[in-house]
Amino acid sequence: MTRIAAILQQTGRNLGRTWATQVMTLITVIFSVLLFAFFLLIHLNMLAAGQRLTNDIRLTVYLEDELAPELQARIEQRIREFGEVERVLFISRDQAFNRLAAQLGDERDVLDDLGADFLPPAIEVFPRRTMSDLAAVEQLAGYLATLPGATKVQYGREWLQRFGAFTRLLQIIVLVSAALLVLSMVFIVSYTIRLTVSARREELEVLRLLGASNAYIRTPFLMEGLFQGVFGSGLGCAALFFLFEWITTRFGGPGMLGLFSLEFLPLPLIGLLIAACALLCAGSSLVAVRKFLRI
Amino acid sequence: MSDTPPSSALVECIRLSKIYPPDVTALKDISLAVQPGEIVYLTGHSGAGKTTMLKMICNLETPSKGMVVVAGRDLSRLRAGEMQRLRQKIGVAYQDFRLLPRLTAFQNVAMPLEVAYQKRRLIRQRVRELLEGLGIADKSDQKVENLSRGEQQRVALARAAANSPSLLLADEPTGNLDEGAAGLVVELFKNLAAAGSAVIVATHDASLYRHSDHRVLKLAQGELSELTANTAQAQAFREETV
Repeated sequence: MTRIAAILQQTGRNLGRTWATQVMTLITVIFSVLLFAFFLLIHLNMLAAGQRLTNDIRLTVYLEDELAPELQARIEQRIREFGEVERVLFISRDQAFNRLAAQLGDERDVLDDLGADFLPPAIEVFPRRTMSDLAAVEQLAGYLATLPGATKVQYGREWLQRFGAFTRLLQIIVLVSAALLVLSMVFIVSYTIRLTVSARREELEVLRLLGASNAYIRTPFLMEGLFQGVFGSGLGCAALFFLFEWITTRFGGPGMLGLFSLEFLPLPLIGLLIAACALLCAGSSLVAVRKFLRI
Repeated sequence: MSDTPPSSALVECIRLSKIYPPDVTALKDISLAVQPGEIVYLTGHSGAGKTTMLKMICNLETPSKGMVVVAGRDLSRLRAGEMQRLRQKIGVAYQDFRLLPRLTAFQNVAMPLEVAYQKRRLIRQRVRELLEGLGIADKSDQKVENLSRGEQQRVALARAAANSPSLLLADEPTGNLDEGAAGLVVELFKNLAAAGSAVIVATHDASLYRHSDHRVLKLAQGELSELTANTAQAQAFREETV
């Protein structure tokens, strides 16, 4: 019998004899990974959405009066002096009115009683995509408010702030769930291995008397840990995928989720998660075996 | 590195003493050498120190004084890995069997062979051969917990002999056996000895050594003495009549 065959046989025997405990551990690992991966998925999607929103951001500077063309050129130059500005667009009262009318479509008749000059002229400033920081956007808004004739600068400040706060909260949740994942895995897996060692103490004692090497005794427990890590995290990710598919199919489209284009976790990240869980579980079992067998 | 002089003996006990706390002397200044291919019977009353001596020879107990040398290696100086390798060459049939009750007779006997990474075919062949030799081939697939004490004892002996060890230690190997089964056990010892193994048997059973031409040693009050053929027979007679 080769060493690998002997170790696999031992591992199979272990799993067979303690299958109930193994199943409970597997379920715990699956749920821990599912919970963590779920928050990670939301966080990554929120980050992506935030990135898209920042990419599409524009600051509208409302003006008292329309600017003469020569003044427009000077103002544009001043705006560009701030740097990080992609494009500057001057909107006259008429253009603003026509744009609103186009947005209203069939309901444009509500504008009939209003004059074409009821909307203020404005400057639309599009920052560069490199400006992804909310603080930098706020700085630009402050700068634009100092322009001559500017009455108000609008860029959805509160919304962006709330979104930023929500993303930060999600980040904390992801970190906390990651810590919980590590703790639950270490605790549950080492506890399972302790139970297995305890259940097999007599057999391990006999194996030692028969001259079994430390590797012969330890490796099956290490394999058990690896098995728990790989299958638990794999099944956890698979469960998350089906949950994701169900949510996107059921709630996708023009509703709330239509605002975002949801993406599943990238494959390399899933691989990393599974590898990390496998290492964590194998490490926990090794520590448990060393501690309880003193070998 | 061992500083013991080279010797042809497989087992050497040199001035061995064992004192249990507070001051119970189990063995006193005992020296013994056992050659490969030799069968040695160790007799004595209960509590004479037979089991203690066997345990020291397989390093389950450490001597209070003196040293045990097995296959040229001082056991007190062996590292864990070396001891593990040496244990694969020492078969021990314990008085309390130390079998795994929920495994079958076959699985129990196969364990030392699996530990030594033997091929499956060889394991099947060797286990079958041993179980047949000890008259329990029909119990091969039965769980040990369902076997009688005598059958369990034979499974324990088969396991001890499975790896064709250089040294076999048997503690009261026929305590639960009838005369016929005991004969099979003696046959097993003879076969092992013929193949070059040293066999040390701790026993009360006078029928084992009564007509034996092998060495018979007696432990009494912690001291070891060698019995001649006549004294061995006289001792056997006494043991049988007690």
